[in-house]
Amino acid sequence: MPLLTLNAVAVSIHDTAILKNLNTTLDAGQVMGVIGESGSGKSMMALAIMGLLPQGSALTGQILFDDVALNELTEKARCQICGDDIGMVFQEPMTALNPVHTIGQQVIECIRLHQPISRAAATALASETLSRCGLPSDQFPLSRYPHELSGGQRQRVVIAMAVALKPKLLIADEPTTALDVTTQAEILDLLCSLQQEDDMALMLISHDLAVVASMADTVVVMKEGVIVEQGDIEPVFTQLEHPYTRALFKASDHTPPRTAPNHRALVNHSAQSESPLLEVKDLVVAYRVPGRGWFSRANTFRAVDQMSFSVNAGESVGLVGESGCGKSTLTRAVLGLMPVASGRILINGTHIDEGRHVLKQVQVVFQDPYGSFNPRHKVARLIAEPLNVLETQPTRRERDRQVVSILEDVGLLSSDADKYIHEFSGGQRQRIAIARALITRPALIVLDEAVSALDVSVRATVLDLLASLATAYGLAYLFISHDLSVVRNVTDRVLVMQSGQLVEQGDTQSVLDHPTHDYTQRLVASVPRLPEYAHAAIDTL
Amino acid sequence: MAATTKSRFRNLVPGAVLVCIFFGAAVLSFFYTPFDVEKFNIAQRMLRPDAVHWLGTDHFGRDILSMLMVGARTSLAVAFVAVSIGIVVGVPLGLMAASYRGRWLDELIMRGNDLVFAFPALVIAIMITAVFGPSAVNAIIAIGIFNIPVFARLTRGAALGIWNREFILAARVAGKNSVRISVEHILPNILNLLIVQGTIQFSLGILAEAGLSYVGLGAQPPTPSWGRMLADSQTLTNLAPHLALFPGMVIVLSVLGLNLLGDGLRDWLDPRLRRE
Repeated sequence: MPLLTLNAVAVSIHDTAILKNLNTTLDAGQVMGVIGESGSGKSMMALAIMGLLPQGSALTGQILFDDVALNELTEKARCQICGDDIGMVFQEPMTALNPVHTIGQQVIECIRLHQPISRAAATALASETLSRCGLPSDQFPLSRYPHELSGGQRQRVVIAMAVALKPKLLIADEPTTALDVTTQAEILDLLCSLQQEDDMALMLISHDLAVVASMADTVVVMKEGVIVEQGDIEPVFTQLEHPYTRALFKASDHTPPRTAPNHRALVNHSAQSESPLLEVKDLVVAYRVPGRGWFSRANTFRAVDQMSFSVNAGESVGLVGESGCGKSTLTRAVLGLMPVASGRILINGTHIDEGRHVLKQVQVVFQDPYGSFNPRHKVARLIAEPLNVLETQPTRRERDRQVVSILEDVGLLSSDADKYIHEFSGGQRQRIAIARALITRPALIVLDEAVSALDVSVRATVLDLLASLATAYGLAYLFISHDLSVVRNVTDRVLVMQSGQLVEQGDTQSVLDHPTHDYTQRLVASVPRLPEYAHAAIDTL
Repeated sequence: MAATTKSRFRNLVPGAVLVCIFFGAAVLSFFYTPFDVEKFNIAQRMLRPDAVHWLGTDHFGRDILSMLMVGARTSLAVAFVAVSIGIVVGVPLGLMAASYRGRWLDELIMRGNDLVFAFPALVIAIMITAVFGPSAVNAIIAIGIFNIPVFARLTRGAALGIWNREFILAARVAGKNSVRISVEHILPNILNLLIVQGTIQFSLGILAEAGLSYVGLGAQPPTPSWGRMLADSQTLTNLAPHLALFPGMVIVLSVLGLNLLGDGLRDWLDPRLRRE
């Protein structure tokens, strides 16, 4: 007798079909992984179960939970079940909590909405649940506010809210996507132990095959609102019967073919000087942090502390570290956007302060394919913007010609120049971002989590594009990422950063296979891995 | 799609129609009014609306329709110039404050704003007219001054949000200074807010002008103005309610029209809502 049964569930929003004929079951105490790319309907399925579908949507079929058809209940009866017997954890811990209520209040509210117990009893239960979730009340009293907690700690609060009433089913929608790898490992461990302690069923939605593989008993693969494959995880992940499952596996372990950079392209840069393309020496970047009292003196916080490294022409260097370790600050300093407290940043032996002609050698691609373009400019203008750093501005015709040729180089059409950015998908936008970085013919492109927001299959094509551009344009990359598997596949050397300092650097393969610093070891150990059986399957692809 | 198109123009069309009627009447009044608004005709005073005088006549026998048309000129001109003063001075101040956020210039601009906000508009208007004498120009200046902090504060708040976006970082990588970024990137992205606020301030300007004229601090007789017409009709409300009714309705409808237009323009101007 399954706990949850979806019976021919279909959802449409304003007459557009979003989910089609979903049939699946989840037994009590089992973990079901749901994988698929963005837009596949994973989250919509969770929302349908919770009864949180957006306005204007229509649901047909049956969602049976404990023999009760959830979708036929009244709003009130349904609310009694959702939150009590079904808990949910969302992706974004930063916005899932109300910033003006303490964590205690939020957990207590959750409990008292569903159970008629006294405030004192609810407080005791909240405190117990929070410590079960790794927030013991001696260190994290109930009176803490969300802004006093880190992302991982907030996610623990969200989980505590979901599990406080010991639900029979917990739905976790990308619970670790917004977190660092080390935090991700801790949160997954927590979910795993809670699931076993309470013998609750867990529906784990993720785009990360390794995360699902390490947690789930059964798996559901979704594509465009349809379940294309489901079953026990081991047979599904070893046989890889459905072509889509196979494609997902292939893309997730994608290694772009890399060839040595075009010699002629490289000559341009290295002929000028013997020094490395980018040289960072004893760099310190500091922020001023206001003191706590009104009259206390401001403190300085060293976001980057005595870092030295170099990037050679045509080389691909990875930079890994947790959020808050100073990666972004370092990037901004290298791009000339942050004042440097001490130390030097040299490009081809010239200090970056010496003028715009130095800065044109370095361009950047940002993480967010949606936020990094002015929505009110056309693509041609967006791509041509960095030309501003050149001393002599090209003529309009020359500029248009360059835009068109670069658009074609990144695999878009010349007619795309006349469109607005909202007409493009995430992957296309990242191509446009790359085009924007290429237009000044830089020697180094900083890729600031440039592929992190993309689906695996799109990510694979963008990585291929970057590899081929590196050859054609003689580019060096500074590849900043939290995703060690991507770093492993695309970089020659890797730098490991922890709280503003460089703790380890060296050849990518050897650093990631035999880390020496204990932080690197922790980082490498936290990366979710596909089980052996799946590796064997990939090798046969 | 048909349904959404219809709802998108739900505000825009009636708003634009109302505003066009008032602008049209104001422009027309330069060339033609049914009667001369400066000529008294005591024999014809306080007539009810009829076929000759569509909206009746006032206590001096002047045609109310003609007076409303000429009054529209005053109201719209005062409000327009006052809003323009607010935008021309306030928006650059707000952009400047946003690009120097957290530094002394930002503080200076915003505390200056607070200072202006601290005075009731009517008190300042009375002060200005006490010093320079009552006139439409002084009403414009008084209302205009109070539009400056409104736009400066709105601009700063909206611009701060845009400054945190990644495309601003991209523009800085392209070596653009804060003035160019403000003009090329910030301004276009907050324009819809400014337009909406502009139309709302426009309608508030009409109300303020009517208020100032009502207490005798706006346009001086014999120039007709909506506020004065209300004030003059006050003692005659029992005898001839239409004297108050028509100017009042005109003020309400023009304010309503501008607010509808503002909402409609906001929906229409946003390219993110314009996708097919």
